[in-house]
Amino acid sequence: MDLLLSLAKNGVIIGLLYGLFAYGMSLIIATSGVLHFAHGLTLVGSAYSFWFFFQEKELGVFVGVLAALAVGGLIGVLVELVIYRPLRRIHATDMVFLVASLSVLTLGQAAIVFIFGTDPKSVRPNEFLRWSADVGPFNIRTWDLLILGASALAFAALYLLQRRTAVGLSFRAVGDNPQRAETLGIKLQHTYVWVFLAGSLVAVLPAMLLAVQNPVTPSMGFDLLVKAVIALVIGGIGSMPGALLGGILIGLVESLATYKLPTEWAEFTLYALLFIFVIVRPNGLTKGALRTA
Amino acid sequence: MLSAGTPEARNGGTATAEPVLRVDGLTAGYGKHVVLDGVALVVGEGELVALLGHNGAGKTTALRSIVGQVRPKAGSIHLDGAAVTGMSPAVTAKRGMSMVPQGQGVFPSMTVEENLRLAAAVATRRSSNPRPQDEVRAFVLDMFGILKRRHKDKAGSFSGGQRQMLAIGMALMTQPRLMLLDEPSTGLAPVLVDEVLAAVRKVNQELGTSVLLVEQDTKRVLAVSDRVYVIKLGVPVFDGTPAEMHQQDWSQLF
Repeated sequence: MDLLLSLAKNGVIIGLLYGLFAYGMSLIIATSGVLHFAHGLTLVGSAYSFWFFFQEKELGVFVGVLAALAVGGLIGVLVELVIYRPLRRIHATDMVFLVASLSVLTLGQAAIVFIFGTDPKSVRPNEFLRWSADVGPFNIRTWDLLILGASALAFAALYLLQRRTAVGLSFRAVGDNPQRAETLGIKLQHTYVWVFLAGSLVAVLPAMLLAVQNPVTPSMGFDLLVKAVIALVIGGIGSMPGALLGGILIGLVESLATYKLPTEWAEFTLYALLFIFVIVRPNGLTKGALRTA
Repeated sequence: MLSAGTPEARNGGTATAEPVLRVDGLTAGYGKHVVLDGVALVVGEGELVALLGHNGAGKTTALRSIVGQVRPKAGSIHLDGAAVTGMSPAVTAKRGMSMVPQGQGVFPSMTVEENLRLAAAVATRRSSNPRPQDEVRAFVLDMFGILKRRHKDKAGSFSGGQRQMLAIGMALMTQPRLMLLDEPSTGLAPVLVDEVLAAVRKVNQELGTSVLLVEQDTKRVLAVSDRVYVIKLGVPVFDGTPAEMHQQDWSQLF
């Protein structure tokens, strides 16, 4: 029983990370209409930046975090400016956007292999990160608390952004009806840049948090992307509770599956879950559904 | 407010006063297909001008060309004397045009309050606004009671008429120099049409907002307009006051 509870706790914690990553992507998709698979590259790029400046160059955690934020934000904005904006100008179909986005992800991963090699990098946990305490049946690590705190803060900030600020409201307006938003005086191109920046910065949190617990590898972006897509199919695009719920459900299923199944089967259970949702509830648990560009 | 009766006012005033909107020789279309051919119109300060015509006459294309959704093939568009021909909708909006598009004027996933707040945010980025935001907001909520009562509801839950009122409210929150309405009566029950048109007239008279109103419902529109243009198959066929319009043989115009 204790093992099951402990697995459930781990599932929820990692699920929060999945949810956070998925929601950043979902924010971008809901506003721009682009299935932004290159979001995976934002994650890899910022995880490597964090590892490089914090671990390799030993410039301290502050520089590491700043570098990760800068690189993550830059990747998102550059992909929008260099790839999506020209495609939008020629009225490319959703399929073209999708292929372009996947190409960016694979090219980016190849570039990282070229620069840093394929061997996994790891951030050695310091004293602070090695701390843990037993609370009832749970072993609570610094990492768990960091994820709880970071995701609570990030979700609260994103909620306020989209309800209280003009730029956040314009994200939702453009997602609803870009033509109407434009006649109201909202510059679509500016809005897209801002939403790619915001969504990408959100991905930097899971990137850094994963980097301190797991090996940093070139393929980590793709792995997380697959989970984010499943989370969004379950939870619905553009919905905050949906992304959270989808993420946590994936974390739980993946973690609890190891109770009875060998660990390498964990991923299989995810695809089984995805399959069930695609057949039974293709629009997800919440009402946010895939919108065409 | 300028009276619409004098010839000077009809042509948007003399050289001393530029009209709010001046359109000359506007030719526009889609691909090789020409929808509008040489349309000219003027909206003077504080005027409510109607643009009438049958389905397919080119009314909506005219509006879309003026706000920049369609790039004109020829002709010029001036707002307060400055050329805005071919500028993007976001730019013409910043310069002071606010269009209420047919049917889809609101953001359905946002609440009434958020829709209005977003529209107001656009105006606060402009340098000079004639009125404090709170005053315009109070005016809008006062005129459309439903918006006050259902402040926290999503616009997506609104009926067609309620959406139209919210869309007009949003246009007003941007404090426009010129409000352009594309067939606000479409799909509304007659009693609602009267309510919406009365509201447009009230805005025009109490806030002094200049209005260009595109409609099919000729009789109702004549009752609220200062001047009327009629276009037929993309070509202007009438320009005058509602009184002059009543003396015309309408079968020739439509």
